[in-house]
Amino acid sequence: MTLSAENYPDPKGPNTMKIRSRWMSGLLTVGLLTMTGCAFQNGGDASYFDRQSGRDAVESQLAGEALAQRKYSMRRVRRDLSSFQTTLEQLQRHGKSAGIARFERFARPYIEMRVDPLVKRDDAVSHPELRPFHAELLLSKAILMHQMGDPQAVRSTIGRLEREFASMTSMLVLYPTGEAVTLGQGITLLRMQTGAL
Amino acid sequence: MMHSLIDRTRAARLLGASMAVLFALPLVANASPEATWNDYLDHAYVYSAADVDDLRSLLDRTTIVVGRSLSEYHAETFPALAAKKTSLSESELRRKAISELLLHRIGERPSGLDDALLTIGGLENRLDRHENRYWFHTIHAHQALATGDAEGFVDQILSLWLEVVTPLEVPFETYKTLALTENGNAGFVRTLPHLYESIARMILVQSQTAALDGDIDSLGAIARVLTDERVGADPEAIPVDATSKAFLDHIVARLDAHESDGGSLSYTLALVGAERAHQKARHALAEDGFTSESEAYVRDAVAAYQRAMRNANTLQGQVAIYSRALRQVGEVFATGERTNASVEIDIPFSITRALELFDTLHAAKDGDWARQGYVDQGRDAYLSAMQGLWSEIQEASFNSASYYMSQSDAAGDADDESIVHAINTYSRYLHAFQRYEGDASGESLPDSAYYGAYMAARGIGDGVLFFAGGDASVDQLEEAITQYTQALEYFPFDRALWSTLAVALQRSGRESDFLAVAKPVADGVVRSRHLDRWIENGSAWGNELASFRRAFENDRSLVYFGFADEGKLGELESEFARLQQERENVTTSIASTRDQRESLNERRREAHRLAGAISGENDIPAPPSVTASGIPASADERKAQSGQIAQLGLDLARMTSSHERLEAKISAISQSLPVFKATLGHEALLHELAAQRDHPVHGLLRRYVEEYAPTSKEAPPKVTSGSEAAWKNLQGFLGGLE
Repeated sequence: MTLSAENYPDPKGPNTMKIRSRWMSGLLTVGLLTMTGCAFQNGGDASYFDRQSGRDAVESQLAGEALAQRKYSMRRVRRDLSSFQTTLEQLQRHGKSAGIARFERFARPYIEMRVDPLVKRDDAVSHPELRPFHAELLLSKAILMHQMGDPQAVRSTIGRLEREFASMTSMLVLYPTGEAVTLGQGITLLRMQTGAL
Repeated sequence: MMHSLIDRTRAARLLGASMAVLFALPLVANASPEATWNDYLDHAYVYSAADVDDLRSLLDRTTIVVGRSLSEYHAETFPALAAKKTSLSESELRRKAISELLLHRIGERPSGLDDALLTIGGLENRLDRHENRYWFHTIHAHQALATGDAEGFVDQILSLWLEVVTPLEVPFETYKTLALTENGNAGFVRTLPHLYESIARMILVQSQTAALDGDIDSLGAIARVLTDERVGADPEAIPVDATSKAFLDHIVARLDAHESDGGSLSYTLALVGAERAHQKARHALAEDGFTSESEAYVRDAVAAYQRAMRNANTLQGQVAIYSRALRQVGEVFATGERTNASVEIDIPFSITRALELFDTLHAAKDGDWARQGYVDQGRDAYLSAMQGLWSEIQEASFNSASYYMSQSDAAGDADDESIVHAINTYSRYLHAFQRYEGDASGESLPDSAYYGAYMAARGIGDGVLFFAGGDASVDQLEEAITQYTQALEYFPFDRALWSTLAVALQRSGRESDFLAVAKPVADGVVRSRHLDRWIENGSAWGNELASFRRAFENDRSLVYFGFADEGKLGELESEFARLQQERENVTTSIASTRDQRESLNERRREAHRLAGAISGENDIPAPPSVTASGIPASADERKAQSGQIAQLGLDLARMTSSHERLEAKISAISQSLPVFKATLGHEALLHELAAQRDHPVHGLLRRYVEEYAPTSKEAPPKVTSGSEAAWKNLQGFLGGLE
């Protein structure tokens, strides 16, 4: 994301500098923190202590506004996927093959561009509050891929759900049909719905 | 229904108003002396999707601010730049393309769209910039609209969403979190609320304005996500009232509603457009009757419904269209009848075809109704649509039949050809009704269909009676009697129809059959368990219906239904008073005659006694020799007196008989007339039932009819000797009323 790209002359000029400087100071702070983190990691071969795993994950956890924004994004993308499923289902019921093909040409890159970045593997356990949304997005993606006739993507997504959330199967999630179920039940439902038994 | 109409009107109004607010934004932002077209074109994403009239108005206002028109700007700027033989910069190319698109949209540059396509093609190597890509796809989408290429339009909008909106959404959310969306440095990202609005307008409004007649259902997904915290979600950028949110929400709700076409966006947009056109036509017909303008509106609406029909893939969609188109048929015929003008508009949505659709719907009742389009909305929606279609068939049938019945020939008499049309229309309805009545589940037909059956049967009877100038043959009269009887079986609370039945019987010389024909129907009312429960529960119109039931309980008041003239009720009452007076007179005469005869008898007995005393016949038996005064002197006198006494006896017997007859009449009238009078003045029930499909009494009528199989399906009732005797008796007292 390039924040300075495609700037426009601002009709409300007077506030620009103040906000820009606030934004820049924020960036500077983040930069300093990152540099500090890097310094600690540069222990080199001479390190006496054994490195403990998990430290990176803790330091990269989201918090505050960023966490809220991520939740907002994940919720909305989940709802968007639900709208896509509805549309695709209706196109299929009508047997509109041209419309289906056209829509799939849109939906596949959309998933790559908008969904996959939100459910990256290393984000799976990043923050406890994001886990349900993460699982829900994977469930929604699997259903959509099933609708688009991609069994391999369905199996892969189910595999991810089972691996990455193996210890969290009792977590309550919203299944794409809108029902609240445990993740274990959700995976079972998904297997039944997609035939991936 | 009314609610949805209000919603649509409101949505349309908001659409109109919204652009006015949008226009203000760039004007305010750039209201400086040095404002140029460049500034306005750089902000064209705000207003480029406006309706043509609004867009023209904006550009006119901008011309005043800038000092030259957009055409002049285009003519003076770009040829000059080209003359310098230097290639146009990225922003110059973009502005040129935008100005050409805008000039095309307002009709000032016929080649504008082709020019814009050519110009924006120059930016194909700079589509990494979202702004360029936005205009590239927007101009291509307009090209697809102009050529009627629905698939191309879908491709462009989906590409626009994927390649412009999707990449901008994440940074927009970040900027919004940091309150940077109002910051000029946020660049094209901050335009996202305007892009949502423009895309919504292109899908919802411009596709319809361009009469795009193909499949754009894939854009249903975009319409749905636009409602999700996108259009109208950023009031700081665009006030909610100035967005298309209300209209968008309405459309998306309709996609999932029970009058959808399996969620088809193409269909829903076409149908909503047709409904708007229908509203205009309805208003014009109501205000002006048939004028060239109102007829044009009707034709527009018909064309719009036809367009929606071309987009309807399921029975669900077709039924929703026919339900509306039939309403328009009814409105047109009602206007013809109201204004006494002939209907000359051809509406290619026939009642016959609607009945075929109903047949198909009904056939799916216990089977694959879901496959007719109602899979998401459920069986209740399917049943509701089926019954709704029936209601529209009913209303359109009766409006057209009523119109035909009102038509006159050149001489001002009822037109036989029109009457035949009316009879055929009523018959078609009644026959269709009889195919589906008796469904114990009550799912096939709406309750109001039973009242419709009464109206149809009555209409047929009227048509038959009016045919050939009212000079009906015996067979016609028989048909009218059959239909009237059937109508009363469906709805026995139309008092006027009983007398119409009696008139038909009189005209066929069968007035003596009135009770025989009427009594089974009246008995049905008296015995009905459902009616009894209705009255007991104090349900709607319970008291009035109870008065009918009381009247049907005895033959005398039933005869009033057939033969009493409601308009001459005062005369009936005067006659009743006269009969009572006559009874008093006869009573007095009887008393006087009795006195007179008693007096004569007394005198005669006294004469006999005196004669006996004078003649000594009490002492010795001897032939009497009566000569005393007061005693008839001669045999002739005695004979005359005996004759007088006998005559008085005869008079007395005649008067007593007359008195008895009067007593019977008075008793009958005093019992029947008040009961009959209690059934008067309830005609409002008929009007209510005709006007209100959901009137509670419709439910009662359905149960009442289903309680008894219609007697018309049974053998015709025979005149029993008891009924005949009752008729003769009643004829007697009716004779006294004449």
